Amino acid sequence: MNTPETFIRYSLRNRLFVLAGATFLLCAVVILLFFPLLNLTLEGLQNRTINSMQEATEVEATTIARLLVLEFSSIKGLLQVTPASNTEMDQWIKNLVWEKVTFNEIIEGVELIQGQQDAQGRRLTYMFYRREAPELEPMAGPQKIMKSFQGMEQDLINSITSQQRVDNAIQGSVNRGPKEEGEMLLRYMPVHVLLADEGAVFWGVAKIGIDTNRMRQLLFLQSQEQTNIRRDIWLEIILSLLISGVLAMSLIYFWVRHITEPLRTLSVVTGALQGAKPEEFDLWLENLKRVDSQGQAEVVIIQQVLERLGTAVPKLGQRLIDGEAQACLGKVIARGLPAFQAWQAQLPGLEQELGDGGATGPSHQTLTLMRARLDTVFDDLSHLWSDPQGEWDRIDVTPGLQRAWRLATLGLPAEVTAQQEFAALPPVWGSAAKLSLAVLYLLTFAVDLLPPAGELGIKAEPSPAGGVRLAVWVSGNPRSPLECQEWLNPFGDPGRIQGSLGPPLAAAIASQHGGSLTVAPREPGGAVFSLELPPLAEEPHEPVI
Amino acid sequence: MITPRLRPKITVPRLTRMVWALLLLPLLGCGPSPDASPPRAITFTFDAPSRELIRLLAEKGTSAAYKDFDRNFKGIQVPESLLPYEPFVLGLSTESKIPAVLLLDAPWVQRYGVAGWLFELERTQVFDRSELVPAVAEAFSVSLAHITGWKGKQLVAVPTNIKGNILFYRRDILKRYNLAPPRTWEELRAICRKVLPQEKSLKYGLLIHSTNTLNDFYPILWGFGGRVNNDAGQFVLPQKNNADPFVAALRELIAMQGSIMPGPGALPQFDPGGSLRQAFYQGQTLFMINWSTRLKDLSDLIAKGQGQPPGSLTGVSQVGVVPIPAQAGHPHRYSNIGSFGWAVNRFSVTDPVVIEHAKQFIGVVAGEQFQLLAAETMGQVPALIRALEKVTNKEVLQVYHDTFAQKDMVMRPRPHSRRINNVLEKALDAALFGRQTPEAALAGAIAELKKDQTF
Repeated sequence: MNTPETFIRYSLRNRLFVLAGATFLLCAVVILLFFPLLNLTLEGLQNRTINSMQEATEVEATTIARLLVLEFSSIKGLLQVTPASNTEMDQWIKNLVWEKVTFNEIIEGVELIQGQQDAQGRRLTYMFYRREAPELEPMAGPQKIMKSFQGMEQDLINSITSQQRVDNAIQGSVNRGPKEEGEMLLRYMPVHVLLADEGAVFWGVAKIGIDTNRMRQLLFLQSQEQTNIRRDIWLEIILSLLISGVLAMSLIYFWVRHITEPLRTLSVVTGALQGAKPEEFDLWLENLKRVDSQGQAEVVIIQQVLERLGTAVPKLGQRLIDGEAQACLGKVIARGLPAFQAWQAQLPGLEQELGDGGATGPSHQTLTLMRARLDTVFDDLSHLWSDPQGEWDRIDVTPGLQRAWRLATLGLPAEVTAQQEFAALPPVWGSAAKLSLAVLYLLTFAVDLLPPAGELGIKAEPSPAGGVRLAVWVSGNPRSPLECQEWLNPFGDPGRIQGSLGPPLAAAIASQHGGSLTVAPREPGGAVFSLELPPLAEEPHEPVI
Repeated sequence: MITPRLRPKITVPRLTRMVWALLLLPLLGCGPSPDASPPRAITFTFDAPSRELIRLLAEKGTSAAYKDFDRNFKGIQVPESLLPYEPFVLGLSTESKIPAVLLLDAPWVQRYGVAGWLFELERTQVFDRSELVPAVAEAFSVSLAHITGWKGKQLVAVPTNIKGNILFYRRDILKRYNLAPPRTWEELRAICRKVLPQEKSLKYGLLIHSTNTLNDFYPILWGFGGRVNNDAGQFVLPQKNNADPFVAALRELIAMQGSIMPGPGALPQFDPGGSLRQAFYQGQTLFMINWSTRLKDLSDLIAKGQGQPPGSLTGVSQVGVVPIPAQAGHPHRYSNIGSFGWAVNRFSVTDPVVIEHAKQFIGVVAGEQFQLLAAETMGQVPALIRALEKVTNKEVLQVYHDTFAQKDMVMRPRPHSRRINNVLEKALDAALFGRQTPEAALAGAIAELKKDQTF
């Protein structure tokens, strides 16, 4: 019967392969799980780097703005300029602003915004921007204008002029918003003019634009580098996994094969016993001894136990056959006891009749018949009892069959219908005693199945192949093929070992002679045992066991 | 024979340990990398008196903090010529991180604090305000509501001592006439009218500085209920409730000129530095308005005292101190605080380490040992309550108990703006020297200051 090949039925070698592969895959999956973590780490690194660079740029911008404001703090002339003035000081301030922006690449522009504002809210402003962006029109030069500031920028400048303090939140908002001067980082700082007699006098606000292109380029480069690193690491890890996978599976395959080979060989050898014929038992035992355990303790132990069992099994088998033969003959004699007793009861009457006269007549005939019958029974018994081993020779099986039939039908009830049909049979090679015993086993088993008014029969005829075909049938209850088959395999289900070992022993003897024994249900009930013996070979041979 | 079972109680823990060891093996060396950057010492503004006290304490060897001071803290020597330009306004207004800790005069604490340049000290647990004498702690606190949203005044600097102008008087003379020191100007005038005619050695009833007169005038103005700036630093003198007291206080001084105070003609003789305390020491005046530290100076003069004219002081016990009088009916008497305090630059606080270092620094330069030594050697009144409790210097204790510990005493910083002070000083001079009436002088000053829109 075919069963689906589930994992539990896999061989140890296959299981080890599967488990090792699964383990490797699990490890590979765990390693692959590091990719999201790696991505997170790189993201974190990028964010930290961006923050650090932004902080560094802002610190740099603040430092540059501070340096400019420190320089502006020494321009006492700032305190004299007015919206309407057009003095040398005005020109000097404009020139200074132009110089700072033009000759310092990092400074995008400067505005100096006076704290005071006019009625329209405008403030005096000196300004110059480089305006390098293509979409911006370059300034003709530094300007002195009255400028209005709007929105957040206005709030920021107002807070600086009132508190001389930069509100970084508003400054951040201004920087995040659009700027008409172009993209740059803006710094607003209060401008104090230092006077010896008055100290630091607040003048206004410096608005300084710092170039951020450099930072953007660095961020872009860093982003590209991170993408490259991520891709390279992916490739390297995948490649490593592939190589390690191939290497690991190759090594595992080699090791598993090496380690499981003794057990596999032992399993194959042991499994061969299932389909082995009795004559192949020695060969099987020899194969078992040849299994190389490679020093594996488990294999050595199993091998030793199997060898001991293999050595013991034939002896046990022989003892079983001998015991079964004796039991079978004992059963035959026990069944014939009523007949013997009946004969014994007839003897005194017959002896009296013979004593009264006549050595001839019906009594003499009856006595002669009884003697003949007893002689036949004893002859049959002596043939089957005296030499269970038997001599192997070219034999005619017919006498042996008839002996077995006579013994088996001895003492059967009168209601039983016994049919025998013996055709002329060709000679076969074998043991007459064993074959007789085999047929007796079958007949005795059949008699056990026989109902009170049943039918028992035997038919011997030449087989089409030139051998001998023997059929023993018995009526009775309908039997299933499985049940019939189980008669031949009494140890198939250790929980249901049947009482008689006749059929399997008969099968063993048939097999010993190169023949076979089959059992099939008989219509309308009962069973038919078919025993076939091969034709006589041209060259006689010795038995295999 | 049955094979014995494995013994799990021994085998499993051993296996477990091995597995743990293998699992932990990759973690070896995976801890945080050691910080490669060395700890940076914080910077502070260097001043000679503090430096001298730290040197003395280091020599005493009582504390490792003073021995290792230079290693832990780096002083910035500010060029003398730069100080008039107020360089730290420039630095802090441009968010410079340097210096991390700076020593500020009380008016500048107000100025820097209101601008949001100073780090709040109490809520951030840098310093516990309750350790300070309340009057001086209040003078070093500002409202940061417009920056932090916290209500009330916040401590932004830790003073190293209590210094302010007070009224010195001749205790021996008042005792002789069985008179109590004055609390109001009327009482002072009454005492002078009674004592001066009988004490021929006394040339004056009251002396105030003839230069930088404004420092002496501010407590008088506050005692009349007037202010120049409000707590937020805004210029409020033009308001009537401030202008009128200004005129009244000035009139009070002018009214005493000639009879109690020197007249315009005699004022220039007190221009030289130290001339005021010299006159008091020589017994020329009954009262004097001067800085609280002058008691130590008088004590030193008395100690040196040989060859001085008759009537000069012979003992410190002859000197008494009280708060500067106020207008009758005014609940408080005032002192123009002259103390310095250590403040933390808000822009320098970039991480908790800076706060911790600043805390350590303030603990060293404004600590108990430091203030005790300053009290014993320099006659400075400690600002720390627990230092005050251990002071043995009698003059220091006298100044504290008789002036700064008085319940009606309020210590207030003068306006920080030198332009305001310069303009008001000129107005004061014009009035005291009789060149203008008080009203005209004040009107002129206000007109001049209004030109500057930053006020």
